[in-house]
Amino acid sequence: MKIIVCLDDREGMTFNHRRQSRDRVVTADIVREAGDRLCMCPYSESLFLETAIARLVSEDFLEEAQAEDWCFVENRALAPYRDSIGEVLVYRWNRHYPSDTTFDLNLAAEGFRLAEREEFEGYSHEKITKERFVK
Amino acid sequence: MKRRWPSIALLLLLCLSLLLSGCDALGSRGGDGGDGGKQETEQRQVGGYASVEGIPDYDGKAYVELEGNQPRFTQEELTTAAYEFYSELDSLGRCGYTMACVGKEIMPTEKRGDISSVKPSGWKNKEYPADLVDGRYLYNRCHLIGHQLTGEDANKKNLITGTRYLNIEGMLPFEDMIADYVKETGNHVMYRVTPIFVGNNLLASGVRMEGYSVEDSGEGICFHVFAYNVQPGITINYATGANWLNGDAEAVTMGEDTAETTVPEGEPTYVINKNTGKFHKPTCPGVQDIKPENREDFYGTKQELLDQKYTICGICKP
Repeated sequence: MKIIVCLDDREGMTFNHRRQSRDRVVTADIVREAGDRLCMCPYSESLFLETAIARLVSEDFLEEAQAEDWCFVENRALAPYRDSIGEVLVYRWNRHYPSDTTFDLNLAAEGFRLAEREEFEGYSHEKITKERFVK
Repeated sequence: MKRRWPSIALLLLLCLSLLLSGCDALGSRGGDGGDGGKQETEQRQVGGYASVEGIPDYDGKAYVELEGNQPRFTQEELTTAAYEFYSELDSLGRCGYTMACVGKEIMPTEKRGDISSVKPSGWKNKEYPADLVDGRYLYNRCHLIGHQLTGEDANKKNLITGTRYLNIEGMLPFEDMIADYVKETGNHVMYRVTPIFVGNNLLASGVRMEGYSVEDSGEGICFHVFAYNVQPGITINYATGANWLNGDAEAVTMGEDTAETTVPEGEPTYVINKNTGKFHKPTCPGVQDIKPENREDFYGTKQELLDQKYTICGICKP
């Protein structure tokens, strides 16, 4: 499967069970990247309700996702799934937010290489950095 | 001070929606600062909960979650009418609690102004090696309510003496989280910051910060933390603000406990020309040509200035 995450400068993902941040431009880009279907947990669904993308919404979405599926991950540990992850798309806020849950994969140590990086302006963030890691 | 209150109808609607949502993020406290029996040993102002009771000692993390990360805003305090409130200074010249309903309508549209005229209580600044203190100077004039939220500049009721660590590691992450949320959603966030002074200390031990997004009943923003006014590697006398390297003797470096300005501020890191929007090295020849009314001495990092949309001088290239 393929993973999409949003991270702050310290690899943070959530604080007090809430996403650190959101940006409608990032959401739109995630939808464009995912194409036909995006897998997510129920907490994440509210971000995509106004989009047309097909959604697989389940607490067990990481188990249910197929090899070609994109999974949007906000509050799950990924280390248990490391062997089944083939690509990771990281959106960086370029901010340091509070966090108590962090991204738990060291992509370089897991054998991923940076294949692509681009920067763009978000709606509420001056600069979003998008990085694509592949094995 | 700006203060606006919501209409009664809006308030009632909010109260009703909160009751229906069953939100447990709000305390049942009234607006008088009491907490249902818990002793507030350092309470000195209404509404701010300025107590060190229940706050653990610093253990290496810039902030600690309090009370399950649930803020103490009462239903009566919640509003979607943006406002800001700053307590009067006390007899020792110390700030009290600040509170705001942060919304786009009161967020700044201009760059931050000069705040160097304010000398908050405990302001005994000193320079340290850059590997110990980012920006070299131990103390910042810390906005209680960050400039990016309400646009306050040299408001002495909103500026405390805070370590660089408190400012950057403890407070800024929460301020940015709120600011970006408000910009993205157009919603409002209740935000209260309470500096906590023990006894007659001139330097705050830290700040209690509470945040709560109103329109979505805390789904976007909900926190209650204490950020420590400490700087790793440096010892601080909170009674006076005097400071020295860990392991050094206080008497060697702090001298007499005299006026707050006995420790010189030192040379600024950069000099801003507010007219051109450029910043310079203090040694840049162009600095001499800046009119006094356009000059601002800046003590901080280059990135901070770039974040505030200032541009680099083409001559000295700081």
